[in-house]
Amino acid sequence: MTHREPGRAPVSVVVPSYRDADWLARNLPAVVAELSRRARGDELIVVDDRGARPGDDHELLADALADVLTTAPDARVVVNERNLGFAPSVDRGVREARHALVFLLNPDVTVRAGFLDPLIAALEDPEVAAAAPRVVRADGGADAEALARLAWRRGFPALELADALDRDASSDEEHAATAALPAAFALGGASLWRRDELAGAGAFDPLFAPFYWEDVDRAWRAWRGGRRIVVCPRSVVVHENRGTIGAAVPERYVRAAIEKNRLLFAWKHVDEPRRLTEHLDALRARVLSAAARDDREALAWLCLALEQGADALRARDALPAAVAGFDELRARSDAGRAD
Amino acid sequence: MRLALLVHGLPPERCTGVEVHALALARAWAARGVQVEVFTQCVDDSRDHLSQEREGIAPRLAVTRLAVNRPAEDERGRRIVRGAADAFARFLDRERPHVLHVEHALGVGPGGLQAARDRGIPVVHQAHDPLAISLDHLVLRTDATPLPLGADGRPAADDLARNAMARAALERALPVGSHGAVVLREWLPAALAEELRAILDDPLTGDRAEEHARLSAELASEADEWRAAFDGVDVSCASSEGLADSLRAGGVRVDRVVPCGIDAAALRASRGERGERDEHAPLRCGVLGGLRPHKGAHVALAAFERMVADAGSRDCGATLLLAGEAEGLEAGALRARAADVGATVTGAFTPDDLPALLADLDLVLVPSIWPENAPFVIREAFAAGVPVVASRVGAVPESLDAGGGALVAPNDADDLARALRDLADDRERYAALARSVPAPLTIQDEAARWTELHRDLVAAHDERRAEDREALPEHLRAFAARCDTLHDLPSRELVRRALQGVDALEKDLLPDRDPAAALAAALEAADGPREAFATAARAERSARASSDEHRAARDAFAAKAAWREDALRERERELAWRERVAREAEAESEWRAEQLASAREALAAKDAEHRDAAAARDAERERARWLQERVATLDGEAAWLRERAAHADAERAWHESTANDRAAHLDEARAALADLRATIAALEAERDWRAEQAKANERRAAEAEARVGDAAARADASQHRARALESEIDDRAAHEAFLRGELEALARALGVELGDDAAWPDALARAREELSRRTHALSSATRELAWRTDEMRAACAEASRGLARRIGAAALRRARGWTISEREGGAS
Repeated sequence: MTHREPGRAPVSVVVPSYRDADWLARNLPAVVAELSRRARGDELIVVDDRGARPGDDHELLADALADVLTTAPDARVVVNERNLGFAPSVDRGVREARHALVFLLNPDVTVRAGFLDPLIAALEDPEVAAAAPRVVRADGGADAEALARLAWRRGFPALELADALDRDASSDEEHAATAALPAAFALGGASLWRRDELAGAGAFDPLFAPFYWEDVDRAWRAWRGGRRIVVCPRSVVVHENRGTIGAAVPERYVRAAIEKNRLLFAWKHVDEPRRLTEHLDALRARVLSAAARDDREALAWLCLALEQGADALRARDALPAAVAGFDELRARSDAGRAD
Repeated sequence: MRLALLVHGLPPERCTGVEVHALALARAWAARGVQVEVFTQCVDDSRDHLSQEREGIAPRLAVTRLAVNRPAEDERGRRIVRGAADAFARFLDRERPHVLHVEHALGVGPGGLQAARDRGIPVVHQAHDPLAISLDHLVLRTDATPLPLGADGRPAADDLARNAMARAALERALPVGSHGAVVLREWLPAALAEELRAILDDPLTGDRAEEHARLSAELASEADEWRAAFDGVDVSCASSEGLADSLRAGGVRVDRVVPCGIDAAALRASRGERGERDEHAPLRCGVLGGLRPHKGAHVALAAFERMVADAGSRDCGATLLLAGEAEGLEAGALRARAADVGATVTGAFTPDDLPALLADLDLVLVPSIWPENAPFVIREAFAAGVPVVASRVGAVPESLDAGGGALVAPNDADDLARALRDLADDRERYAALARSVPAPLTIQDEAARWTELHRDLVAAHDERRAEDREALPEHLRAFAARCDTLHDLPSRELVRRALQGVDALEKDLLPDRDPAAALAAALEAADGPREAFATAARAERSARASSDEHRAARDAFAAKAAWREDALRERERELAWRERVAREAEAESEWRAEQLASAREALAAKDAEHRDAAAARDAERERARWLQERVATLDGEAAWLRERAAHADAERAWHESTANDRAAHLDEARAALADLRATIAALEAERDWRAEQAKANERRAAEAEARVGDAAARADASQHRARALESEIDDRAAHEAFLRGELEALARALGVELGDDAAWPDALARAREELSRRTHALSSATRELAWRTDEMRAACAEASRGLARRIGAAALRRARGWTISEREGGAS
C-alpha cells in the first residue's frame, strides 16, 4: 500500500451534467483548486448527458469549460451519445474512473477547501460504505442538510434532517470536533464511494428512474449489509437545492417522481410485518381520502408506482438477507435518534 | 374518446328544444362509441344543495346531476348559480374529459368554461341563443316588446337593468311560476301593466333610479364576463347562420355554424301512420312547444279567430291545437281565449308524445315574436312530413330555405290568418307545400360532424402535449408520458387501479391478511371523507348564515321603509279626509248663506207685502218678528259656520305641514338606508381587503421574526466573542504595562535612557563587571568572616577552659545557659 497516511489516497471526481455549463463554470474552479492543492494524482471526469450524436451541431461542453479544465492536473469530459439521466451517467463516469475512490459531485454543488481528506479518512474503515460532507445550503446561511434520517410517518417512509448536527454552529471549527455521524443515505450529488461498489450490479437501481430516491436505495442496501454511511462535518460543500433538475423539468414531474419512488422504496425495503400492515392500511386510506377529496394527484402517484409494483417486488426478492430489521436499521442510521 | 357535455337541464325535467336536443346528441355520441359524461342541473329536495349524483343511463352514457335547490337571490343568480362553477370544476377533475362540449352554460356560467380552460381541456361551445350578447336570451323586454340593440349589436345595460327591474316587479305582484320571462301587458291587471310600463319607459327617480344605476353596472360587468368566456373557448359555434350573424354583430367570435339535427326515427314512423288524407278534409293546425308569450300562441289564436270569421257562414272546418306547457296567467288567458275562438289547448308533452301529436296535424304554426334561432319544432314537423307556417324572425327563414314552409310577418295576426286561409282554401297549394317538406338533418349526422371536430381537437391537444414532452430531457419523456396518461384518466379509474394494485401488493407482502380487516383499518385511517364532508358542511353553514344575515338586514330595512311609506300614506289619507270635511263644511256654509239670502229676499217680499197689505199687518207682524228671529238665528249660525270653516282651514294647513315633515323624514330615512347599504358594501370590501392585508402582514411578520431571530442569535454570539476579545485585550494590556514597569526599573537601575538602545550593551557589560567585582569582594569578605569566626571560637574555647578550671564546669553551665545547646555534645 502506497497510501498509508489517512486522507492521502487519490480520488476520481465524477460530475454528471445535463446542460449545466453555467453551473460547472461557476463551481468547478473550486474542485480543480482542491485537486491541485492535494497533488495526489486525483482526476476529474465530467459526464456530458446532453446527448450528442456524432454530427450534432452543438457546442461541446469541453470547449465551454476549456478555461477551467486546462488548469486541472487531470480532467476530461466524456459525452453520452444520448441523454440517459442521472444514474446511468454516474455509471458511465464510474466506469471511466481510474482510482479506487470515486467522489460523486453534482454541478450545482460548490466544494470548500479540504473537503476530500476527511471523507477519504472515513473510508479507511471498511465498514463505511460511503462518506458525505456536511452540506450547507446556498440560500439558507448556516442551515445544513445531508445528515438525513429515514423516518416513518403515518405508514410511509420519509426523509428528514437528523438534528444531531449543530445547525446554528457558525464556524467550521465548531464542527471539526465531530469526526463522523451516521446518516441514512449519502446525497447522490456529493459523496465518496468505492468505485467497485458503485459500478455495474452495485450501482443505482433502475427501478427509481428517472431520479430521486435511487441514492437512498443504494445507501440502504449498504445499511442492510451491516455497513455504514457517514457524514463528516469537517468536510463542507454548498448545495443549490434542485438547481439542476428543477431547471430542466416541470415541477409536476419532479414531484411525481419523488412520490412514486417513495412508495417503491417502501415496497422494496420495508420488511417488518407491523410496518407493512401500517403501510398497506395507509395506502388504502390514502385512496379513500383522495377519492373523497377529488385529490387526483395522490391517486396518480400511487398508480404510477403500482405500474412498477411487480418490478419493486422482484427487486425486493433479489435483496440479500438484512443484518437487522427495518426499524433497527433506521435507528442505527439515525444520528439524532429522535424517531 | 371521453366527452363531457354541459347543458343546463335535461328531459324529463325540462323538455324544451335545447335540453331535448342535448340528450339526443349525447345518445347519438354514445351509440357511436364515444364515452359521454353529461353535466346538468336539477331540482331535487331529497339531496343537498349543490350535491352531485352520477347515473348511467345507457351504455357509455352517464349523467351527473347537480342539485340546485335554492332559488336564485337575484337576477345574476338565475344565470350564474353560486357554487355551480366550482362543482363543475370538480366534475371535470373527476371525469377528465378529452373535450368539453357546451350545449348551454346557463347556471354554471363563465366560471365553468374557465375551469375547463384552466385544466387544459379543449372547449367547444354551441350557441343556441344570443345569451352571449344579451344576457336576456330572448332579446325581448318583460312586456314582450323587442329589446332594442345598440350600434355594438348588443342591448344597452340601461335597458337590461330596466328589464330586470320590471321582471322583479312582476314577480312581486304575481305568484312565482305563473309567468315566463315575458308577459303580455293585456293579460295583466291594469295597475301592474302600468307599473311595468313606467319602469320600462318612464324616467326613473329616487330609489328606482338608484337601483337602476346599480343594476346597470352589474349587468354590464356580467355581460363582459360572458363574452370573455365565450371568446375564450377553443371552437365557438352557432346552430344557425342567423344566430352567428347576431353574435358576430355583438362582438362574439363564431368559428363555424353547425345546424342541429333531430332524432328523426320515431317521427318518420309517424309519417307513415298519417297516410293519405282526403284533399278536402279540413286543415288541422297546431302550435307545439312551450306556450309562452314569446312563442306567439296568442297570435295564432287571433289569426285563427279571424280566419274563421272571414269564412263567414261557410264553415271551413279548420282546427287549431295548442299543445305545450303553460301555467297560471298564460294558461288561464290562453284557455279563455281558445274557448272563445274554438281552439283546443292540451298540456305539456314529452318527446315521446310528439310523433302521435304530429300524426294528427296538417300544419305546424311557429308564430314566434322573439328572434327565434331555427326552432327544433320546424325540423320535427319536417321529419314527420308536416309543413310549417312560421314568423319571419331570427334564423327561421333559413330553416325554410329548402322548402316545406311559408313565412309570415311576426306578431301580425292578419298576415298569419291570410296565410292559413290561403292554405285552407287552396288545397293544391297546401299539397305542394307538403310535398316540398325536406328531410331534416338527423341527430346522427350532427353527432358525426361533432365527433370529427372533437377528434381534431383531441389530436391537436395530444400533439401539443407531445411537443411539450419533446422539450424535456430525452430520458424523462417516457416517464412524462406515463404521468400524462394517468393525468387523463377519470378519478374512478384511478381509484379502481389503485385499489386493485394495493390488493395485489398485499397478496404478495402480507398473504395472510384478512381483506375485511384491512378495509376496516383503512376506513378508520382515512380522514378524507369525514374531513371533506365537514369542510363542505362548514362552508355551506357559513355561506347560509351570511346570506341569511344579509337577507334579514335587507328585509328589516325594507320593512322599515314600508312602514314609513304606510305611515305617509295614512297621513295622506287623513289629510284628504280633512280636506273633504273642510270642503263639506264650506259647501254647507254656502248652502246656509244661500238660505239666508233667500230668507232675506222672502223677508223683503213680506215687508213689501206688509206695506201693501195693511189689513194683514197684525198677522204679518207676528210672522215678521218670527222671521227676524229666524234671521238672527241664521246669522249666528252663519258666523259659527264661517268660524268652523276658518278652523278647518287652519287644521288643513297644520296637517299639510305635518305631512311635509313626514315626507321629509321619509326621504331622510331613504337616504340613510342608501348610505347604510353603501357602508355595508364598503365595509365588506374593506373586511376582505383587511383580511388579505392581515394574511400578508402575518406572513411578513413571520418572515421578519425568523430573520430577527437569526440576527439576534448571531449578534449574541458576536457579542460573546467581542467580550472575550475585550477581556483578552485588557489582560494583554495589563501584562504589557507590567513588563514596561519592569523595563523602566531596570533602565533606572542601569542608568540607561529607555529609548537609547545603543547604550544598553555597554551598560549591561558595566553592570556585569560591577556584579562580578562585587561578587568577588563579597566572597573575600565571606572568607574573612569565616576565618574571624574560627578565631573567635578558638578564643572562646580557650577562655571557657580557663574559667572551668577556676569555677567548675557546672557553675559555668548555669552562668552561660545560652551556649549549652550549641556546645552540649562537646560539653557532655
